[in-house]
This record gives sequence, C-alpha cells and structure tokens, in this order.
Amino acid sequence: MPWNDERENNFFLALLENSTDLISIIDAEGRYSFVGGSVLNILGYQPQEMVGRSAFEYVHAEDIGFTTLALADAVTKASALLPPFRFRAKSGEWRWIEASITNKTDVDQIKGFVTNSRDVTDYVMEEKLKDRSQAHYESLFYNHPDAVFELNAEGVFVRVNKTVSQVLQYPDEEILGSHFQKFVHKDNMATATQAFINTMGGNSEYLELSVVRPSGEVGTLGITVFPVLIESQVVSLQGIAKDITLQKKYTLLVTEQAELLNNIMERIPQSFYSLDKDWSYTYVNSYYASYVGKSKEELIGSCIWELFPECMETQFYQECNKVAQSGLSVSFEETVGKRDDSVLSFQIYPLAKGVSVHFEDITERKRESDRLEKLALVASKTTTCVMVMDAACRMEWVNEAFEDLTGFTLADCFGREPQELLAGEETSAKTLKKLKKKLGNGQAFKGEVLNYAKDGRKIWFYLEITPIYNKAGQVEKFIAIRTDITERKQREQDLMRLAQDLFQQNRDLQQFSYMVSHNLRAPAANLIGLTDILQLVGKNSIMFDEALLRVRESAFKLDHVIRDMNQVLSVREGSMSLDLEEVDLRQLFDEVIAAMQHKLSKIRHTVELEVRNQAVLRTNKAYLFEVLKQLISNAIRFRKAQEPLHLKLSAVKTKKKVELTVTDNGIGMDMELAKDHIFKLYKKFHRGYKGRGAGLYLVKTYLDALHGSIKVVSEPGCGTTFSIKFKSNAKESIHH
Amino acid sequence: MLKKAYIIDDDQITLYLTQLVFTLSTPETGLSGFESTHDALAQLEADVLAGNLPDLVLLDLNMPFMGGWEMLQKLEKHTAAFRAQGCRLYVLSSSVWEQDRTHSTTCPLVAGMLQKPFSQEQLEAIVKAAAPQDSYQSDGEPI
Repeated sequence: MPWNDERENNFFLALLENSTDLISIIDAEGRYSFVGGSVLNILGYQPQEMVGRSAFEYVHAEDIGFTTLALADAVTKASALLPPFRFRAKSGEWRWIEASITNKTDVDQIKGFVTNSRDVTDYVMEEKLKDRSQAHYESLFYNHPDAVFELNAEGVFVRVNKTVSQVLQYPDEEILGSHFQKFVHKDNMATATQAFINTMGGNSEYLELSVVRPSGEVGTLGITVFPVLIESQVVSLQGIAKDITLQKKYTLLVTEQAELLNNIMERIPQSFYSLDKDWSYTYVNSYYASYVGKSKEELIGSCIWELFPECMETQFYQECNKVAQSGLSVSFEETVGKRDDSVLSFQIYPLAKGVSVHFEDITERKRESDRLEKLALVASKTTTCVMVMDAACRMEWVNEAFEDLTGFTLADCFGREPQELLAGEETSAKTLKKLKKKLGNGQAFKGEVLNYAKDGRKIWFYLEITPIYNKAGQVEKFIAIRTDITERKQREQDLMRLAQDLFQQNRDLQQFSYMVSHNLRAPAANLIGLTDILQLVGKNSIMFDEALLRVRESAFKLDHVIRDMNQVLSVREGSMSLDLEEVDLRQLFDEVIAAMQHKLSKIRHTVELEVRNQAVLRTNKAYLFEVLKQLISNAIRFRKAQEPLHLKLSAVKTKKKVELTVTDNGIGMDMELAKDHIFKLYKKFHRGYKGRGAGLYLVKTYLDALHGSIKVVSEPGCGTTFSIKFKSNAKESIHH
Repeated sequence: MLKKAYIIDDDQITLYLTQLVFTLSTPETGLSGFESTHDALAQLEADVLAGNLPDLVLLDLNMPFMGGWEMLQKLEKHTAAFRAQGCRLYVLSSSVWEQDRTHSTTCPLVAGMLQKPFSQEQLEAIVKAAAPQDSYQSDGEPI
C-alpha cells in the first residue's frame, strides 16, 4: 500500500499503535526493521527498543526451533503460519503469541517480511487447562477400582474400564457394542430398563441388579448411574458398578438369622432379655415381658434395678455384676417368690456392652425331677429286688439290691427271661407254670418261688409281678418285686423239721414210756404177786424158796430195765450238746475191734475192714463207738454155732454221704417179721438167745442223736448187714 | 368151774406166779402156760376145730415176735367159736396205760382186762362171773 503523504502516514502509524494485532517487519534473519506501536500495549516494549534486534532474542528457547523453521518457510514461500509460541514481554512474563509471516521482500517500500502477531495467551492457557481435565477424567474412568462404563442413548456399551470385564466376566470386545440387557438377569430386566430410562431423562440413581455371567453364575452389582450432559442434552449414560454378591449374601444371611433368632426368642416359653452397661433393657422377648407383666415399650430403655428394686437382694443381682466385671458367663438356679416357691434357672452371658439373660421357671420340672429322683432312689436303693420286664417278660432293668443279692448284673439280665437265670433244680415247675399262665393272660402274680443266685446259692423270694398297661389296654411292662424270704423260709423249714422231729420224738417217747411202763411194771407186778404168795405159803413151804428165787430174779429184771432206761435217757439228754470231732473211721474201726477183743477172742472169727476215700466223719466219736460195739456184739451173739464168724466193717465216703456197714454171716432174721419192730425197745426176734431187746433200740437212739439213719438187710441163715448213713452236711445240722 | 385154762406170756416168772395162784385157788383147773404166741395160736386154732377150747385164756400183750393184740387180730375170726364153746379171754397185762384198757373193750373177743400181778381175787372174780350162766359177757369187769 503506497504512503501518499505525511497525514496518511500518521494515520497508519496510529492504526498500528492501537491495533490488537502487532505488525512488524523483519529481515530474513529475523531482525526487526519496523515494529508497530501496538507493541507497547501488547508486550510493554517501545517500538524503537526492538528495531534492529532479532525477534528470536525474545522467543522461548523451546520454541526457537519451529519459529526459525517458519521464518525459513516464509523466505522460500510466500507466507508461513506459526502455531502459538512463547514470547518474552517487557515485564519478563512469557506470553503466548500466534503469528503469520508474509514475504514482502519484493515490495520496495517494505523490503522484508511482514509479521502479524497476536497475543493468544488466554486462549492457550484455556486450552491447556482443558487438556488436563480431560486427562483427569480419563484416568478416573479407566483406573477406577470399580467397574465404570458408558452406555449410549441406545443402551449400548461404548466405553468400559478393565474392571467391567472382571465384574461381568465377559471380555471387553463382547461387552463393547452389546446392549446392557444382554447381561441383566431376567428378573431384574424391568428394574434395569426403568433405571436406564430415568437416567436418560436426566436423573441419577443407585440400583442393585443381578447379572448373569457366561458360566451361568448370578452375581449382584450395586450400580450408580448418571446422565452425561452436553449442553443440557443427555447424550449418554455413565455408571459405576460394584460386585456386591458376597456382601449381599452376608447381609441376607445376617438378616435371616436375626429374624430367625428373633422368631425363636419370641416363640419359646422362656425369658430372654439383654441389658446394657447401665442395666437398661435393650432387648426383651414377649415371654419375658408377659412374665414380668409389663409391655416391651415399658421395659426397653428402663433400668432393671429401678423397675424391680427387690431384685437387688437376690443372687441374680450379684451374678449380673459378676458377669459384667469378669466377662464370663454363669448359670445358676435360684429359689425366688414370696414363699420361696419358685425355682428359676438362670444363664447370664456377657455382651460387648452389657449382659444377656436367659431364665426358665423350672419349679414344676424341679418338683417332678425331685419326685423321680426320690422314686429312682427308692427303686435302686431299696433292699427289695425290683425288676422291670418288657411285654415278652424279658428283663430290661434290675436294681442294685437284685444285683447284690443274686450276683446277676443288669448286663447279665438284659434281654433275657428271668427263669433262664434264676430257676434251678428245686424251683417248683408248678409255680413257674402258674406264673407263665398269669402273665400270659396279663394278670398279676403273687407267690413264693425258689430262685438260684449266680453262685448257685438258693434264695426264696416272695414274688409279686404287676402288669403295666398302656393306653390301648395292652401290657407294656411287667414290674417284678422280689422280697427275700429265705430266712423265713429257712425258719419255716426248720420249724417243720422241728415239728417232725418233735412228733417223731414224741412218738418215740410214747413208745419208750409205754415200753418202760410195761417193762418196769412187769417185774414190779411180779414182785407184788410173789410177795403175796410168800406171805400165803409160809417160810417152811418148798414154794417159799422157789418164790424167793423168783423175787430175786424179778428184782434183777427191774434193775436191768432201770439201767436201760437210764442209758437211753442219758443218750437223749447228751444229744442236746454233743461234742463233735473229725473221726477217722479206719481208726475208729480198729478201736472198736480192740474193745470187743475180749469177746471175739473166745470164738473163731475173721475180721475184714474196708475203708475207702479217706473216710473222715465229723461226729461224736463215743456215740458212734457205742453203735458199732452194739452191732458187733449182736453179730457175735447171733453167729452160727457151726461156722466161724466173719465180720466185715466198711466205710465209704462220697460227696453226699458217709456210709458204714457192719456185715456178719450169722443166723439172720426173717425180715417179714422183724421189719417194723427191729429197732424198737424190748423187741426180740430170736428165741433161745439171751437179751432184753434193748441193743438195737439203743443203736437207733444213738444214731438219732447223730442224725444218722440205719437200715438192715437180712435173711435167715445168710447173715445180716446193717448200713448206717450220714449225710455229708450232717455236721451242720446237729444242733439241738 | 374152770376145767381148762391157758396162760400166754413170754415171762417165765409170770407163768410161775399164775401157776401158783391157780394151784392155791382152783387146783382142779388144768393150766397150760405158753411162752410163745405162735405156739398158743396154733393150739387155740386146733382147739377151735376140735371144739375143746379152754374155759379161760389169759393173754399178755407185750411179747416178742407176735404181740397180744396181733394174736387177738388173728383170733377174731373165731369169735363165734369162742362164744359157742364158752371160752373167755382176758388180757392180763402189766400195762397201766389207758389206751390198752380202752382197746380191750373194743375187741369183742376180750372179756376183760386184768392188771398184773395175777391174784387169787382176780381168779375168784373170773370164776364168779362165769358161774351164773355158762355164757359170754363182754361187759364184765371182774375187778
């Protein structure tokens, strides 16, 4: 443009000075040949300060590179445009400058490069700020630990961070471009769709959604969704999701448990409540509330000791304090109530901030258990034997007394029938049969039975079996009560034996007194008769001497009878207190034979002794000695005249008895005649032999005293055998 | 009048004494003594058959082998013959037992019970009891 005159020149200068653009002219090296006046406003320099100086002096070192290249561009080409670069202002501050360079070297008035610069600092700074916030956003989006995603207006994933694929367990490429509904569980589809619509309508919200993973597994996500607005227009939706599956599960579990617990607490007929550290109720169940007769609302928040001051006198108060201090739970029972008639069973547990209390009224239970305890005590400790049997009479339980008495333990008995263990040889089959019949008909049984203990000991029981019926009227159990009546039974048997003995003795005595009266009276009567005759006939008659002889004879007879009587009576009396000793029978035989030697030596005889099994007998030796002596004496007396006497003594001991025999080869007896009378007093079976018939009676008397029995086997002309038997336990029974 | 009498007793002194009493009171009576019941029973059964039972039998109770009561049992079947032939049987015993006395009254064969020793008074009473009628009287108590 041509400069026509001064005025025109001044106009341009003023224009340049006041323009927001800075016009300057530089040469190919960048040296200013002209600087417009606006430089003062823009950078604070006077134009003349800068003319002659290189523009590059003012450019930021980092920007010199591309500005130099731009000038070089302008030298070769017509113009160049420079991106913003930093230019030092007069104040030293860096300003962002945008410039264009135009090659006007061919214009004579200019002969250089016109630069047109503008201060763009504000714009550049703004742009720089924008860049930084974008970076922040990106970082937040991609590095967020939760799943962050963006859906476009159609609901399709357009952006996801790496956590999204972790949460959904789909790879990014399957997520991006897919509609969100692909991942939502069908039950939640409506919720999800509604939330999407809401958000696209400009609202934010939080929702929990179930999602289905490729494995089919269902997870729960907690999602915050918000709209993305560009110029007040919702263009997309962004969301932040968190996998809350476990959390959800735990929450559900805790809720369920709490509910369950609450249900239980509310329903059981026992009291529960908790107290905080100030002893105020924090929880009470309904049962407790009704137990103390107050509403839950009255209780919660109130101090227990203020509501129930009487409680402070109780063990409960002390225990509560103990638990609060020690942090250890306790349980105890306490008797409470105005008349001490209720028993409560307490359990107190420490809580983080207080205690919880559980108690139960066990008065009834306690009473019942006391009763049962006492019953059990009676059943188990009584000296009566108690047995419980099932309907099939198999033993289920026996008490201690039964075990102690019989020796059979509960283990021995269980499942077996009583008679398997208890019945024995002498148990009455008749009684057992009757018992079975009764029980079979479901009837009670009472009676006396003989049982055997484990060690074989006999026990007499009074047995009472009572059937127990169930509601249907069927026998369910049998209860058997056994009372030990062994002693009574023993006494009964002793009494019976005694009665028999007494009867026998009485009969013996009767017989004895009969015989005695007869045999005493016979010689006495003769004496009377003879003395009458003596008086009648006078001393000088030949009858007198004869009668006198008979008087003497009668007197002797009388004397014999009195002696016999004395002997029998002394044996009987002696038997009351007999000295017993172990008698070696072999030795006894020898002694008896020796004692009879004075008689045996006068006749031809042989003696045979046979003693088997170490025969020793506990008995009274003197009595047995007399018995043997009498039998040997009889053998001698009733021997055969023409044959030598063969006398055999034997003794055999077996488990049950000791048997002694005395056998001879004498004249024998007719047992048909003798059998009933042989051991009676003054019975004789042999004519022409001396003797009064007292010997065998004495033998019998001795043996009665020794509790022995005697039998005789004999045949006329063939000899006689006397067998004497002692029961092995005879030693115990000789006592009266 | 006693023509024929038996005494059955195993005691020789009793036999002797009885013989003496008869000799002194009724020497005309033929008295036979039996020590053994077996012998006496045999004789009596023979007498029953022969129709010559004695007028009087004195029987002891307490004897060996066969006692007086046992013998009476065996004679019981001859009660009619005893009556017909006028034979009176007395038990002569030393027994003072009431049972023996009562037993004797229940036995139709026994005319009476005599207690030893046998005396002249007893013999006279027997003769007296037999005299009025020559028949049998079971209720006669001679003492």
